[in-house]
Amino acid sequence: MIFAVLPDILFYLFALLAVGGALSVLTRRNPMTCAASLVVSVLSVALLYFLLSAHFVGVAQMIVYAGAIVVLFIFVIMLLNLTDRELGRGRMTLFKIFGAFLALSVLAILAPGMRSMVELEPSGGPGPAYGGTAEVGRLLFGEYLLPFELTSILILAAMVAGVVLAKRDLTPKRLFSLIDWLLALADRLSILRSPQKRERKQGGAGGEAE
Amino acid sequence: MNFETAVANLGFRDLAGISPALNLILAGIAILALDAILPMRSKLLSAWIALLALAGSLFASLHRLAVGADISAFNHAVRMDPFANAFSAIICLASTLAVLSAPKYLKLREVHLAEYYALILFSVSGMVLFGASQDLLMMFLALETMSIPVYCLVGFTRTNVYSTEASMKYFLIGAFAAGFLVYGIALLYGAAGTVRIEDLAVGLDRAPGLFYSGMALLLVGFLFKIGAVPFHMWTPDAYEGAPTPVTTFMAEAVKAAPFGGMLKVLFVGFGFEEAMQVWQPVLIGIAVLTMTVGNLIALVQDDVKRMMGYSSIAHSGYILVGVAAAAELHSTDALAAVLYYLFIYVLMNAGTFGVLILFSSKDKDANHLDDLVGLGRERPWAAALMTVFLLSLTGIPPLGGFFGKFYIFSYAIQAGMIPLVVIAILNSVVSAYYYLKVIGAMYFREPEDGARAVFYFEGYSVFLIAMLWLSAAGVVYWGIQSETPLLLAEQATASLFKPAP
Repeated sequence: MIFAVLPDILFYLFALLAVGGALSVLTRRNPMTCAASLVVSVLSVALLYFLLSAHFVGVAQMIVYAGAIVVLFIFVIMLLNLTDRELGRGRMTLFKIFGAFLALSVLAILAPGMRSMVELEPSGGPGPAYGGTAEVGRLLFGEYLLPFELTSILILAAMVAGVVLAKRDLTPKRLFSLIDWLLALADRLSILRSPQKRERKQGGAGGEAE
Repeated sequence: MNFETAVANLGFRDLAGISPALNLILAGIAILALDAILPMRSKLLSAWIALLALAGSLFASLHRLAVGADISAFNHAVRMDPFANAFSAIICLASTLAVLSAPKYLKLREVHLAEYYALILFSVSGMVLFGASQDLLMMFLALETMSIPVYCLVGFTRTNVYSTEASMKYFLIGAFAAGFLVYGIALLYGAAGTVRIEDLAVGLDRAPGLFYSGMALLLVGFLFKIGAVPFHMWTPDAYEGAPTPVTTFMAEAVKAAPFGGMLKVLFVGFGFEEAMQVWQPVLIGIAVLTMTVGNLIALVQDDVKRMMGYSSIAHSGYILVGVAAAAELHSTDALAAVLYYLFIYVLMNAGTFGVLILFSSKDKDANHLDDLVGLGRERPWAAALMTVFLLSLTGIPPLGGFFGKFYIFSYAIQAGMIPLVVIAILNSVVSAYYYLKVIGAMYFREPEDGARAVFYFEGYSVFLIAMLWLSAAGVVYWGIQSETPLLLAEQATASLFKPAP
């Protein structure tokens, strides 16, 4: 008996936690508390995915959001290390009231649509492999191959962009053009080196040694 | 569709289908690899590879456009129809001009890196796929592939505070806009149960609230990208702070590309009567605001780059007039006028920034109006070219800019939108003031201390000169011969409503 309603109970529990965590992110003033609340919210959503038997998406949500992104948040928060005074007093500004009003009106518009969307597939719901890694892999490498591959280009571009912006010294240590390189090769084989130049070079080396 | 059929369908045909984009991606990777294996003092080889790749994509797109090829690839993720090919051609042309303007300027600024060309190529490949996307997921990824390299390019002169500031601003606002876009896509997926653009209409009956919210958010995301008022705040800052060749790239390619996806979503996804009645009046309002605000603020600018930023906002407004007219008339020919306008806009903008690059020196840009005083006497050819571009931007016949506006406005009159056209023409008159102010500075103002103004061609390079003359020739020739590009554009837009093969 209890097993029949267990998914419902879990759903409402985690949905409440997800919404509560999100609200807490908005209302708490201490950034650390906000980050912790975000973890609660994100993990609850991951558990909701599990309840929908979307295992892969659930695990990805845990690893990417709770694992990587929130850690980055916390890293930045600790780096800034804001004091209580710097945070300022939490006041109710007109802007915040407007934001809350906007959020509520969006909810009012969207809610009826969300209820009407629930439609079972004519074939009697998803198959047994639904939501697993294999099934997601099939989609990624079959139907959505191009978006998937484009993501790799996107990440490559972002990586190059990051290196360009952040690297301290962009000019490579060894500078040579193709022609420079050929000349250097010729120089090493002492084909093109003129006698005077050779002398000057030897003289210079000698001068340094003294 | 199950896995086996999905994979069996993929093959060489799909790769050939997206070859204009694939070619650019491969060239970008080749540039990066070459620079890592064989670092060279001169980065001209990278520039040449980029130019070759862009020219290849340009001619491939033009060829496909001319023969009317219509290819769906990768399980209908993209469709290289004449519409996508036309946008691909415009964007590749714009990027070619932008790459031509870059080498010397970057060398002067000591940031001439191979990464510059690779990032441009990645960005352009995103743009090409953006106009070809058949579903919103693909569209979003293509848009990000297009935007992320540009955020970096804006901050490419890293020691320059303004450049870094502009990059940061552009990045934050761009990420914000991307958030709108994703939220909109999620809501539309919730409403329609699919992300395929041509099936979005289903969502209206199933969940109107979700559908309209999704549509609004998607529209906001696009309007951010094209810099329409009230989502224009980033444009002048990013234009002013970015290195001038990057501004050139932003003002042409990054400007034109979002229109490809936007037109597709508006006319294919939301092209039915009920939705059109909602977005078309909104677009008219935004067009009026965009033109007026852009032109009025441009009036008081003394920095030519910043002024061109506001001018580009105003031009977005003119283009939106054309989009609204096409929606009113249900005519693909009116959309062709929009494409023609984008084509000419690319040419005339490239030239204007090109002249600014020509006189940039090692430590200073020649961006201020005062920097151009006396140019007409000292460097008559450069001043003459600049005059051609500025007159075209104003819309003086027989230059391309005039015909671009003429076609758009005449379709708007056909659609019965007389007040809108009156506002647009008044705006053109206002814009004449600030474009002519630059011409006035070049020809009719004397340096204040009475000395002769000195202009060195420090930014001179064969590439840049080629770019200036090409765009000037284009503005004049394709202005007088406007029939040919217009005919191609009409073929292109006609394919928008044909079912995918």
